[in-house]
Amino acid sequence: MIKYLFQSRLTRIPADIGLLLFSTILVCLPHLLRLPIWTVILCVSVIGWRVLYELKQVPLPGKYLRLSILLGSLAGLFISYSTLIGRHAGSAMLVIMLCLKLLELNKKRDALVIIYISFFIIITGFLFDQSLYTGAYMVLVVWALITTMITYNHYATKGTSVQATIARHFKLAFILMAQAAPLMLLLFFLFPRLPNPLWGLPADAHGGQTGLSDTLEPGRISKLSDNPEVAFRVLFKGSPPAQNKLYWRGPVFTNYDGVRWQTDKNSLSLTRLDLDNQVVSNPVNYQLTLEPHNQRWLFALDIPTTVPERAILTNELQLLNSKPIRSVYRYSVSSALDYQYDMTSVLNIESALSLPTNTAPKTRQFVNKLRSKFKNDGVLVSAVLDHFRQQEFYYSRNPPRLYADHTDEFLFDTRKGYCEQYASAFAVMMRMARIPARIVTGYHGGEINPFSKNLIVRQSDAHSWVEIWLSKRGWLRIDPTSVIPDHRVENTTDLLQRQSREQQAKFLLEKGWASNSIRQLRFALDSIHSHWNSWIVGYDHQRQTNFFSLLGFSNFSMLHVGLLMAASISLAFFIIGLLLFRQRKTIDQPVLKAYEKFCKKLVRCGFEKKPYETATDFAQRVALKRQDLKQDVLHINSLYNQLRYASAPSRELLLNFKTLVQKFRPTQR
Amino acid sequence: MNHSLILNYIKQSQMRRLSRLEKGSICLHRLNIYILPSRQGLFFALIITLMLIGSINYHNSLGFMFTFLLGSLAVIDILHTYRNIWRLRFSPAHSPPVFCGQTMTVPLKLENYGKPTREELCFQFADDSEQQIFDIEESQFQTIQLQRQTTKRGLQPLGRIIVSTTYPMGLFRAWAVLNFDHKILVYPRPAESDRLPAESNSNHKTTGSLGQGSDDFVGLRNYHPGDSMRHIFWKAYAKNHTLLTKQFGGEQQQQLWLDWQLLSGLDVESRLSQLTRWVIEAHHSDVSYGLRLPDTVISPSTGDSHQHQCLRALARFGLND
Repeated sequence: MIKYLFQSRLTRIPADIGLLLFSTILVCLPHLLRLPIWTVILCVSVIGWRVLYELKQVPLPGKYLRLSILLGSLAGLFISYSTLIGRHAGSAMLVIMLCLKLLELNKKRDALVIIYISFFIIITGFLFDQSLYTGAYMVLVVWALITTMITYNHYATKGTSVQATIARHFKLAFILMAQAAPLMLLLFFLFPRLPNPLWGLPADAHGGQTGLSDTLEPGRISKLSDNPEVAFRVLFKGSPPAQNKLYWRGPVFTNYDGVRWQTDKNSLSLTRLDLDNQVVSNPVNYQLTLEPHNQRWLFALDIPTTVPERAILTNELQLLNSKPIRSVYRYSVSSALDYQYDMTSVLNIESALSLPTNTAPKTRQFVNKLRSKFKNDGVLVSAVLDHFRQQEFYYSRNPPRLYADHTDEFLFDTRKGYCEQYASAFAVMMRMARIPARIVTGYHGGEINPFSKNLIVRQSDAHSWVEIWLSKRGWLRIDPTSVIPDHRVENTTDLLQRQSREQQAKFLLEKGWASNSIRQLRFALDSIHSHWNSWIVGYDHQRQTNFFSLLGFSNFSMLHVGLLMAASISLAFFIIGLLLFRQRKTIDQPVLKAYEKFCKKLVRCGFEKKPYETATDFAQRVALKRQDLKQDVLHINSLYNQLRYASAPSRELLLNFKTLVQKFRPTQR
Repeated sequence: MNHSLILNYIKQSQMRRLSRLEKGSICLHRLNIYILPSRQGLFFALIITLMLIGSINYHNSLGFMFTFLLGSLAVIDILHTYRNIWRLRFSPAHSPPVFCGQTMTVPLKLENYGKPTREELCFQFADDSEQQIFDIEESQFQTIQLQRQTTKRGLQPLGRIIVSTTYPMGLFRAWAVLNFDHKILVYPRPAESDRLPAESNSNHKTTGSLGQGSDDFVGLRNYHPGDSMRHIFWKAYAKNHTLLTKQFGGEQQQQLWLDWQLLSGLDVESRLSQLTRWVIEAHHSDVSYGLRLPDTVISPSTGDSHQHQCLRALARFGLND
């Protein structure tokens, strides 16, 4: 059955527009969660308008109204973002343009414009989020878009049911994508990656990456507290150290102005020699895969004895990368957990003692009283810690907000706080007692993934503690929150961090099988995420170089990469082509071939089959003129007709036919 | 120098191929299928390029992945588009003649040796902007009816047919040119006037009993192909399945000569148009009519084949094809 339509008829059936609207909504959905609320309202109402037009024929807005909506929303965007450049404003603009285009959807070309804008919206979405879930969701969106593209390229939908046609197009789009997948992967891994961007990027290009802050304000509420996102993953060479030794050092805060702690911007870089002079022992080797956090610092345990490439070690023992970490970054490092670090030569002791003069008068009084009691620094430190232990101090993630001098208010009033408040108060007290002190933030603990054997450290493991300097002992880590008894710890995560692995396991076992299987599932998922991050999201120039050397190309140039890419893609194209262009094995081809041979034999006797003649007409014409050939010709003809037109001709018949043609030897006259 | 020679050669060989007429059927294969990006495809390429530049600049891995997915889809689309017209065999069948200006239906026989179904096959005559789009369903032999506008009388060449497809994604257009050695017959456009020439009636009437008109039944004879359907004696057919033709008037029947000379004031095409109209009218009013052209004389008769013979003579008048 055949049906046709002329090109002049471009009006679409509602189902096609429905499909286009469906794809559009899928495309916009992840963006709508990020956009300003007025944009969301605008987009939803515009899509709703189009739906109403399709269902109830509510008239669409005219040209001038559309133009004024466009100009108005551009002005709105400029007010909201104070720019029209950059990923936030850019993606918002694309989403608005897409929705407005829905109002003037008349021709095939308009639908194509919508599909092409959708492609741009998808790719800007990846600037915000490159997780596995986003990737999987986008595969579905692309599937819907390709189906829409096929549907809009296909006019002849008359006749068969609309649902069947669209279902067929979904299937076809799936096939196309499945065939494109191997080519895509080849291109992805072989396309040469550049070490640097082509040109400068807009300022907001790398936002949306969570991590520790470079300032510390004990008065404000921590933003990270319950974020389960992974900060980094660690793979230890050998067995991992005990849980209570896992202090992942990040930014170090030395400068304090009474309200806010800040990192020292003028910290010095250490040399290898400086490190060798320190007493260190038993280094632990591990590989750390860091999620992007858009800051320069790298995390490591206590004292790093090796420094990763392109990074420096400061005199505050902080690892700093040469550039902010903007994509998943993997580095190997080894650390000493038992150490004596006493480097007065490069240490500016004064900055670790400085305090604004009028800070926390009540605390100063309290410290002075203690100081007069205990002359020894070590005894004084344990006296302060005892104070925390014995008095009713609570460790909480939701402490009351501090308004006045936060040290005084915390120590004598609220007595409830999270790690940063303890660390800050403790450091202030130390400095008041003339003991050099600084705050270190980073992560504490982590959990081992039984599937990948990785240690996973999450944002919720963020922690801060204090380092003090004692003469002859050097820098010493003090975690003031660790002295708070368990019953005064409110949060289970914090409680767990303080325990050994066996205790943790016991605690979790008590929680029952349901939460345990959820945990198992989470670990399995995490190991998938980890592979996704290292192989897909973090696949950059460095990883590509490693990948090529894994393949055996250690010294390669761009030309080699290009040739390898071209060759493998041609090969893949060829293989897919072979699969697509396989010839259908039908009985017709051998039949036609043999019949052709038969006709050729008759041509030699002066009988040519005319194009308009049927096989039977031709056979009868020959039979009439050549009585001697009559029997053979008619027999061959009847077999031919059976083979060509019977519902299911057998293979034997074909063989019989072939041998008859073979044996047919007409004599010329 | 060399360059232009090669270009020339390509151009000439292409011209040769385009102007070569195919007897019988044409099968589409790699030598006669062309494929190039459509305008939409070029735009798609531009978009992919922009996306690639963006991905390189932002070091965005999923951006790369997405760009390469779209690129690979376009590459796969080439294969699917090509396959959609590959291994199709076309041959034109006889198309019933029409009057000039009418739309002729040209049956095109189609044999399918490749992909079982063909979607969105677009047929277009080279001298006509109208595109005719077909979905071909699973069956090896079938016939599609193409519509052809007629502008000239005579035995006209069918003309080049461009068969093309952009299925599935519309990024590429594959096409082939079907140039059959096949002629279609177009009768002249009939004139408006529908009055039969009165003078010719008296001038060329043979003597006989005027009282008996053409309605006068004379007898029955066996049916010959070409006899008017209206003269078949259906009662006899209903009784014993023999086709008999009723005969009227015999020798005494009116004879009408449609003569070229009657229209001396007009130019050639107008005369032909007028004569065509007369032939139609005469055929409808069941008079025995003959046609007299400067180079042909067709003696008076009736019936469909007689009408066809007259119209054919009019169509081909003055044209040597």
